[in-house]
Amino acid sequence: MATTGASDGASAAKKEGLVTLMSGDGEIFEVEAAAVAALSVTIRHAIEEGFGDRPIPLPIVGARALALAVEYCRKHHSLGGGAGEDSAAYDDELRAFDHNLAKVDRDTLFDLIEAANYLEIEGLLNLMCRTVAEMMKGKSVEELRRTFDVSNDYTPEEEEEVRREVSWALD
Amino acid sequence: MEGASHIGDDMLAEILAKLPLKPLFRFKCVSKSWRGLISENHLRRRLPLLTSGVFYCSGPGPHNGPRYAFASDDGGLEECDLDFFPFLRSSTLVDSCNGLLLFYAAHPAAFYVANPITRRWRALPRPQGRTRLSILAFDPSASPDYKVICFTGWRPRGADIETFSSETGEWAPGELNWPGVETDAMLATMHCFGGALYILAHSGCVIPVDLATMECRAAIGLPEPMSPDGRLGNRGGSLYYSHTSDHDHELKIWTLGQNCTWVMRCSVSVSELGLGLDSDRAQVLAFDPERGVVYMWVGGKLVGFDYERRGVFKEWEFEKERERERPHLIQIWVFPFSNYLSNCLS
Repeated sequence: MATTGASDGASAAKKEGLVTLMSGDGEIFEVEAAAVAALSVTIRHAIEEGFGDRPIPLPIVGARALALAVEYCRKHHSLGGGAGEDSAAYDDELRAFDHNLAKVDRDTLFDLIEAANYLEIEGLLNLMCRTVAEMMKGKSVEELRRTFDVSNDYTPEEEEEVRREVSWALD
Repeated sequence: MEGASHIGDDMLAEILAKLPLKPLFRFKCVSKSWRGLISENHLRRRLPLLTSGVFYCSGPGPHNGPRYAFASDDGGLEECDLDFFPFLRSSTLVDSCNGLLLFYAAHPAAFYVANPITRRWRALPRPQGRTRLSILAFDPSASPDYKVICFTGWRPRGADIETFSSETGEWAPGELNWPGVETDAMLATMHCFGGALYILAHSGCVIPVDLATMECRAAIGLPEPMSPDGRLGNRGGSLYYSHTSDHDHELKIWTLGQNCTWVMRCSVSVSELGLGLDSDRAQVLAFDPERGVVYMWVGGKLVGFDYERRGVFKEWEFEKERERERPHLIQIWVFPFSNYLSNCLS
């Protein structure tokens, strides 16, 4: 399994193996460059553009979401080599990790979706979107509006019309 | 950050694309912007393909008659009952096309078109003549309108027809002239896509019928003399043909290229497909419209065979307890879900 950072021994090399990320709220993360670069297209590009020795600013990603996203990258890099769910390397341990990660509260889920999208971590984006879709799918229209704070901007007449149009999907 | 109203439309579309069809359409009622997102074409294109089929069960049992099922992701065939249609027992399923069903009752003569997904149906007005063969033409990726073509009389090299268009709501008379083919040679194996109906004819050609003008185009010769299991399909905008040749049991798949020349995509021995004991009876039923996959019915199982990678892509099976009743697959379709399909009978 590929490990990163400390593998080269010399302290200069160790420093080279790390990359600094700065969350939107100013928190600094020192992480293994290989792990995040393998999973996040955005960070890979930033490193290629020479950001390796100064902090990479991630203005729209909050510290909590960034910490979780980095954890996702580490785990998937070390266990699965960054391979997707279809690959043989996606084993029970990774599945369990993903399952646990998806147990966060609703607001963190949305933060993680935005973070995964910004960082271009496809697997994480898919995982979180699927999790939200799972939460939505058994809900009625009213329950959905309530759970996800969506305001109803239909007039009663408009709503009746659209309900008629999709009446097959309402029962 | 509080709730779905605070995440961008792109991300919301990303989430919605992962919902099954029914909740997806239900959530059109949530708000105007949700409705807009769900109706957009880019979301529709990302939805999974709908694999569905019509089955008949033979022998005694509660499931006699036509049944309709979806292939679900987890490898099962999910049955959808047709009880919403009040004439299920008094009429006969005569044709089906891309998710719509055509029923016909002889006394008194009546046609019905039903949509098993939205559970809606409509009765068509009565045609003038007596129908001998009726065909439903519907392509939800191209148009919300469907046509019913009734062959009301045969001539040596053509046919009298009446065509019902859901757009006009009326029947229109017409005639078809087969290009250089006797009526006796025409087969009931057809495929409708891209505004045309393609009909197989002995002993080896395809007759395209333009659905806008209801006229035959020039016949297209097949690459090899036809076998009884010959099938037509499409992938993207191209016509596909497959059959298993009698003499060497090779499954062969061709696509129609430029200048009406056939290009072979696959030639593989049926015994090497890895389909098990029943592989002798494997028959191609449908082509995947997007991937290099054909769907075959093999001993009570629906098998997706990837002809580019030469392997079984997916298998679906009826629930065990129903095996005794031997469901026979009549027809399957694989098509991208479309708003047209959900709206065409509303």
